[in-house]
Amino acid sequence: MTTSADRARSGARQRPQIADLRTRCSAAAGADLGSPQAMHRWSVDHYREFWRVLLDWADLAWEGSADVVSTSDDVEHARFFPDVRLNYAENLLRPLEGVDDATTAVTAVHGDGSVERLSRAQLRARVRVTATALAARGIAPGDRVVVLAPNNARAVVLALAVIAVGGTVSLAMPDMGPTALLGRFSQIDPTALVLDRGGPDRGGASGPQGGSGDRLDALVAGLPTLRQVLVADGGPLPGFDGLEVSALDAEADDAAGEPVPWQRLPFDHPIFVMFSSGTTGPPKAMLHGAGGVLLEHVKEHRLHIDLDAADTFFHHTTTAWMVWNRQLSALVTGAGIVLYDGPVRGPETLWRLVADHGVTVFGASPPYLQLCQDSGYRPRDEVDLRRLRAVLTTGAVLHDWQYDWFADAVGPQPLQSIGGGTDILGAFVLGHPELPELRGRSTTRSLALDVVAVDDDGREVVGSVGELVCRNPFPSRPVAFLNDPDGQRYHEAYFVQHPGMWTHGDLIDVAEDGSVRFHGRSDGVLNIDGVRIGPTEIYTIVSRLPEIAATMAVEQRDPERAGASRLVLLVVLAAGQRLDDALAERIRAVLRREGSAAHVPSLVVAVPELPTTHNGKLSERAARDVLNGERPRNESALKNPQSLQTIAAAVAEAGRPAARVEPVAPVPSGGERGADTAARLFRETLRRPVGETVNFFDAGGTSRESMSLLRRLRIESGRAVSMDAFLDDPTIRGLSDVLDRSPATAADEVTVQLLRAGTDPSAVPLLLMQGVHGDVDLYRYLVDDLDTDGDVYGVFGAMHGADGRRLRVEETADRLVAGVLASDAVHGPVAIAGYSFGGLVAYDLARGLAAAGRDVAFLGLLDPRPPMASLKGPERLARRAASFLAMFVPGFSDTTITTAIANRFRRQTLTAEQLMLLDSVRIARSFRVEPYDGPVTFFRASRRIPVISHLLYAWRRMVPRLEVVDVPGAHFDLLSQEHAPVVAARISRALRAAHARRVGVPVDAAGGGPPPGG
Amino acid sequence: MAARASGIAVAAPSGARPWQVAVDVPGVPPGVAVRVLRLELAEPRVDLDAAATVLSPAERERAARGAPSVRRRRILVRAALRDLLAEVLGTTPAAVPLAPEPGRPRLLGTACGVVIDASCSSSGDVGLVAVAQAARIGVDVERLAHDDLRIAAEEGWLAPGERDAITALPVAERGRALTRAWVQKEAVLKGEGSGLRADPSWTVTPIAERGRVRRWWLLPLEVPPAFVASLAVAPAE
Repeated sequence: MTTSADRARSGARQRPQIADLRTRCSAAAGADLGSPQAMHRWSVDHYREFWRVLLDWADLAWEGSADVVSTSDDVEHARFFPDVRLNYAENLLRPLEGVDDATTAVTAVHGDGSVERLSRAQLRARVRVTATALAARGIAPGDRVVVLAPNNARAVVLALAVIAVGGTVSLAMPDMGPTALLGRFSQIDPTALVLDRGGPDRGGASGPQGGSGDRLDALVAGLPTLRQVLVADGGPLPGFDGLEVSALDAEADDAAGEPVPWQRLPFDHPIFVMFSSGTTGPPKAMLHGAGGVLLEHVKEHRLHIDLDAADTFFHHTTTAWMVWNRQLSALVTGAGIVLYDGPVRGPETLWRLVADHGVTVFGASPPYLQLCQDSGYRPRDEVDLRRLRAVLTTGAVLHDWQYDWFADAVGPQPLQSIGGGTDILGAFVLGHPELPELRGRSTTRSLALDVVAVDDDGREVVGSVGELVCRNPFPSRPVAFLNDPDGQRYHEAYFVQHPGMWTHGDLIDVAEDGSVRFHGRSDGVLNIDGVRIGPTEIYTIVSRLPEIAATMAVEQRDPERAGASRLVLLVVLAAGQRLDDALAERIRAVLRREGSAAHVPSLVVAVPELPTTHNGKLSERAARDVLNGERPRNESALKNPQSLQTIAAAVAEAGRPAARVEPVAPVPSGGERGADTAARLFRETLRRPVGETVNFFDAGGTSRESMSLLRRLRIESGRAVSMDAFLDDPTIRGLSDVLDRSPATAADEVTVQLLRAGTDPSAVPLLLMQGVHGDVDLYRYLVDDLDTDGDVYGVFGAMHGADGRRLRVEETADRLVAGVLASDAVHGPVAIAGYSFGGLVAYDLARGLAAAGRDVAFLGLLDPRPPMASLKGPERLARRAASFLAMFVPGFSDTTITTAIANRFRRQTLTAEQLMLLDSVRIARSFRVEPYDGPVTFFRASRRIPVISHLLYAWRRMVPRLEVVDVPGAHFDLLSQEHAPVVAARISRALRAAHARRVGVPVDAAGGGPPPGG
Repeated sequence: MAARASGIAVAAPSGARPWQVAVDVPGVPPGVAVRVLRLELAEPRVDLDAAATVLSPAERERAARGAPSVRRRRILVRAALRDLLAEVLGTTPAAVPLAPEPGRPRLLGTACGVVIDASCSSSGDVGLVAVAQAARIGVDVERLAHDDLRIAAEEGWLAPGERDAITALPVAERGRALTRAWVQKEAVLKGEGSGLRADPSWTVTPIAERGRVRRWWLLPLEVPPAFVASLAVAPAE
């Protein structure tokens, strides 16, 4: 047996700290807790004694009485140490016996390689000065303070200073978008905002003064409770109406006065506001208390990781993740922490930091390790890892093969997979210094936490998969949710499924030896391509359809694609209803509209009944098991186990390929002719029968009612008739003509839709190209803000050929060219623009129209997808690595890590919509830039990972007249409500410049200001 | 000056017709003059025949094509439009050079909004006529429907942001917010001249009584409590 203690450690460390604690626990227990399992058992059974012993053993700074450890055994409401008072910052920073105060506490590495080091003494002094400055500015217990800072030394100082004076701190990265920031911080009513816009080394277009001003304005405007803004980066002070803005300058403040004493506050005094990453709606804001955080982290760091003053701990994170708060607490052990605020430029980036700074315990994400593996990087061959003694991973499942790679390419250090969450600001499962690493499993459960897997009825299961619950109280639960006065949201988040237990929402199996493996999200949550979806979201939406009596969403392993899964929706129909294609389509449409693409099922299957437990609960798990060809684990708990075979048969039948490729019958629903449908809808909308040729509006119909009529047409007979077509002849006869004439949708139909009427019919119209979904919805905010006199049109058509094959960009563009040339609405010169995928379409449309002799006055490419196929080999490799890494930087990537992982490891379990998206990426990648000699304006997103430029060189090779205009935002939120106004203004300006160029007027005379630069 | 049962303070009728009520419009953009008449279409003293005399033969014919309530509404709204324009132009109602219907009201020989612009709307027993100088305008009134957000969403005229904003409102306020969003959209689209030929969901309203959409200022108009009305004003450039 190899343990972390003897495997990678130097001889200096003989006995892990947990052995020392065990001695004390054994004394308290009056029994020998010799094995880790016995120790865990005791710590759970006697959790009050455990926490009491830990509090004493850890030698923390506190006052009051620790006689009452927990106020009850109720997980939901128990409070720990109600009579203990302490200060988290004091505990992290105070001088430690046997630890040299000159030991490096913080090593902050910047993107440019520069390093800032603070000893424990220096860090303490800086926190003291900053705390004094904050107190002088009125920050006191009860204040919530937002700190926007990259992961550098200042972030540590600021957070600890706020906590030192009794404030509650919430951190985020300064380059997060205002929507994300406001989604979090508008919930917490902060009184102060502390800004660190990053040092001058961080530069680039998104640098401190450049792009951040508008974002800051939006943020500050959205936080009405703010009383002051403090600028900690030494840069110029921004101005905000009615707000006090001051510099928080440590040196200047040094002379400011007597240090304020740091109060010891109640154990539950909130020190952090954390946000759980919800799947919909704003993230839940939760308060974490000083004592709970401190004790939990002391336990994890000292007992499970065995950190002490000899260690240097580096867990790569941003300030917006709970990992940051957790690594901060490592200071309590005397260990030094390493911070890094630069980008991950390649697989070597973090390993180099590990080597350069003598890191002993390194934390990274499984995707990062996977990147190293994929790119053939072998850390042990490249850098000196002699000091490294353990590697932690968290945030995603660590796969079996990653252990093999690690042993081969890194070394014998234990690789520990940690699983927990923001909700508990800690870990449920993690490593253990006395236990050997187990390939594919987390070694142990967190001490004193009664973490088990349970079945549907809440009974513990060992050796098989169950729901992760914690059955006893623990100090690091959130002390409260914000905006949840009666605790209802808190209750619903964790305590509904299994009363009396904390249900976390993960599926695990716990082996006899206490080791744990994760099996994805539990029943309660579907994991569709990495997107977490609560089935109730689906049920809520679908239940509004009167045809549906009951429904169940099940994630099924895709029988046709190994490793993939798909969303199956089982529906029980209301009496007399039949599940036809139209109804299935309507269900999909309503889920897409009110949910998201991820909510759209691959299969909709009608079944007579749903598996239900004796308690009357739906059992998604039973359905999932049977659909996956497994024996349902909880069959005995079902009152209708016979339903399962029916379901399995129905799904198998519905999923047969033949059934799926069967063409959708063209509409006439229920055999009703177009004229009958039209007459009925007129009658029902107008509430009286009218003649065939009577104008809808003459008969008293209003415009609002015309919308209702078209909606009912869409819903009841699946026919989409445009308002335009209706208004051309708003009579029963006119409508029935439209219905009879047009087949549902012609594959080659191109729509040129007026999005906004211009004021000057002679002005050049702007055509916006279909985006990745085949529609133009993404331009909504942009259109609103465009300042142009011309009409604005959306141009879109089918995404697939008659054979069902997805069209290439060039083919799509060819069809759109034909559509535009045939359009009655658009003639003469045109301006064209497109975003991302649509940018590529726009480019080829412009080429096509120009080739057909049309005057293309303007072509705007809005951060188009990089034309990978136009790159040369090495360029492509560099781009690929960089785009993968971008996923680690919040706000930089439109792919989440989980999505990417899902793509990488599970291949296709994707819904039709998701497949289409992936297809689009594939198609965009195959796009080649062909020469175009017209003027092109390239609108480039300001925020981007350094390596990922926009491959401008690939464009420049083919486009001699390329102008580049920088616009705010990152690729994915370029057209969001926040950024659209600026993007629209720059497009409008470029449009005017193009117009001026065309008619030969100086730009200024056209009212446009200077031409776009770049 | 008279206070009606509706509780709305109203100015003296401008055209000496008792069913026409001048509506005050505070907050119009600087440099713009707007006059609005509210019509009480069910007012017992309405003299339909007298009102119809100021209409052109084509206008009378179009009105007559409608159902009785539609005819009544079209006559009264068109007459009021002529009354108001006549005052502004200093001529008689019948002599106002209005371009033929249907379509947006427009004075012959002018482009929309350059000198004088007009817009009309009606819902139930409430009509609105608005005339502006140095601006383009659009006006819309709608009876408060206790609209279901889901139905509105299915009809497709709400932008996602609007839907989110309305969802965030207390349930009791959603119906009014929905109807208000609709009248604001229609007012803007009428002002732009496209009407519903442009997709209303592309006009993203502020989910508030006042606000801006593109170059349009949105202002609430006083109407009886069961109705919502909005005026969209775009200052001439």
